[in-house]
Amino acid sequence: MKSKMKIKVSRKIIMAIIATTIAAVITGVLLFPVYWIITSSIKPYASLYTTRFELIPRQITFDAYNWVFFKSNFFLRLRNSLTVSILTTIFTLILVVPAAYAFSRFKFFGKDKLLYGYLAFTQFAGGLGITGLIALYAILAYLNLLNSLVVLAIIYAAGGVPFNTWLLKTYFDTIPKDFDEAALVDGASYLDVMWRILLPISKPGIATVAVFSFMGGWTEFIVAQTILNPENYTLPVELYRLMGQYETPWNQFAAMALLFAVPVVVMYMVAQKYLQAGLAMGGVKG
Amino acid sequence: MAKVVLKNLTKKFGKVVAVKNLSLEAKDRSFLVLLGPSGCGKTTILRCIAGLETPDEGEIYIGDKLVNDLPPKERDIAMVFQSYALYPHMTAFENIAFPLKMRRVPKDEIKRRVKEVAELLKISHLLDRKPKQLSGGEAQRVALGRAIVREPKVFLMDEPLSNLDAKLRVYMRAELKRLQQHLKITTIYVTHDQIEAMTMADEVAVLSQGVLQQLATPDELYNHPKNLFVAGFIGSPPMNFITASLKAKKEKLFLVAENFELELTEDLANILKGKEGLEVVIGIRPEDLKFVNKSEGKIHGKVFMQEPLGSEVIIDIKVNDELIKVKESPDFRLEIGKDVWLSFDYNKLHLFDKKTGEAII
Repeated sequence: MKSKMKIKVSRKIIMAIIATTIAAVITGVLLFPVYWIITSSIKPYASLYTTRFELIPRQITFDAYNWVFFKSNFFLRLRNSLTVSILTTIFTLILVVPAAYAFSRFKFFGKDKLLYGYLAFTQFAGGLGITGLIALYAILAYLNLLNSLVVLAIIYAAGGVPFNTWLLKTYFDTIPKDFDEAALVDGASYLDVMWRILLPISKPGIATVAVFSFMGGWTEFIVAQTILNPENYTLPVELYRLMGQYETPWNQFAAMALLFAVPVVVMYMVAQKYLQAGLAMGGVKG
Repeated sequence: MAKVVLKNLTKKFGKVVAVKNLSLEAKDRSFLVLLGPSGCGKTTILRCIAGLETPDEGEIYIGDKLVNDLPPKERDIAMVFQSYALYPHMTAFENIAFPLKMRRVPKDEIKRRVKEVAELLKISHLLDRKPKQLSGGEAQRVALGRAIVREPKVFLMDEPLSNLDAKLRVYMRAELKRLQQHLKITTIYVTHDQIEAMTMADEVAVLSQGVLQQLATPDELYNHPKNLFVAGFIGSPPMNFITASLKAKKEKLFLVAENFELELTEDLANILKGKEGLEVVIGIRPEDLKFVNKSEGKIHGKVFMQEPLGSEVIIDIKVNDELIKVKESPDFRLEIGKDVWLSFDYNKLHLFDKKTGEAII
């Protein structure tokens, strides 16, 4: 009996070791590109072009970061990206919150068709590709709206409305309607119900929409490159411009790419607890 | 303070008729209970009065005002929900103050009124807590406070005690009744618990499948139920029912059941004259049956089970295929399987038309 238990315990330990090893290898493979970018950003330019493989840099230098902060257009592009992303988030919330509230709480003519239409719209953007881009450019050129960060934010917000409305509407659905009804009986208007009751309870849902829309504005490249002129370029476009026709300063590229990722990482870490609740959309018990 | 009058109220959800042509009145300052099993339409009626549902037909009056087209906030009503619906992001103080804030009452006045209500409900020490920090009973008091602070014309309460444990429920029943009598506000209270209804109500409206069965005082409902449904719903344990038929023999009237016959008294026979051959249901409450000798017995059966409840014992007697419950004093005991004979006072007898369910006597 004891020997059988011993065998069971040993088998468990062996399985745990194997599973942990496999997980560590996979994690290593997934994180290796991040590690490579970090080390590339602190290596001298020349060492990136040698044939010698350096897992741990022999020489460390912050020349690339020095170039990013003091010689490049990083801060100008950062300002443009922040402008676009923050405006995208604001526009998205302005459009999505009342829409999600209406879809979640009210019955109206065509509601179901519109809701499922939203789902269909989320598939259109990817599917139309170049055609959509050309049409968008033509419309903006005709209306003399090219090269505007505000217009770019509106485009991003519009693109995010279907998905984010669905996301927030589903979150609102988990909040019992008793709260709305109690507030209505207490003397609140529908706007009061949304503003004073639903929104404060919906912080996780709102945070999720805010992070998704911010990231959408922060990382988008194609539309930004198409409609913006050089003085208004955002960080993704500036990064792309670093790639030369004949050579690319990979250390400077790596440094700028890392700095480009930092705000998103910080935002996620700050909003993490809200994001987990918002994405899980667990049931709310009254 | 105001009476509430419903006239021919009908509410449908698709093909389902939740409330059917209902008319009733809650008198000014009275405590009216809407009682019935789940799905009988009682909550729908309450929500129609509150303005949270729109009736398909009929009229609702609060005081003398027709309120059908008024939104909830203009009906001067306050509601306590089954789930309490306390706003989770607000403290108890803010929850109670919310209705006053919506009505733009000055801050000092809000503070004064909230404190007053908190003292009445003994929750002054809880005002800084959030709902998740409150027990069930405390949350319920805060929900009550939110309703009371408004000084409305009508209270609407949707099963407010159903989430409490049994002991707290008994305590809160008395508290709620005391509060209503103190505040003298017309109250309409929904419950499926007949003990709540019988102990708290001035009048009870018994409902089944959206139809009003009987509107009466608790005593009237208990002693003179209008039909089989009311008779079977009110009373714990419920009324015993035995199917029988009225037969005439030698100028006397008998109730003939499967294994016994009951000769009716002259008074009862006079009432039931002309109804010979009618299929009926005999109703008799457990406390109105007595164990007697064979010579005095009207109904014969065998002891099936005994349920001691502390203050009394319920004895199940098998009479053919039917089980009849008899209530006895707590130390009364019988052997299982023993042959027994039962008798009762004819004044306590109920008779119902088997076909229509309506009370005959």
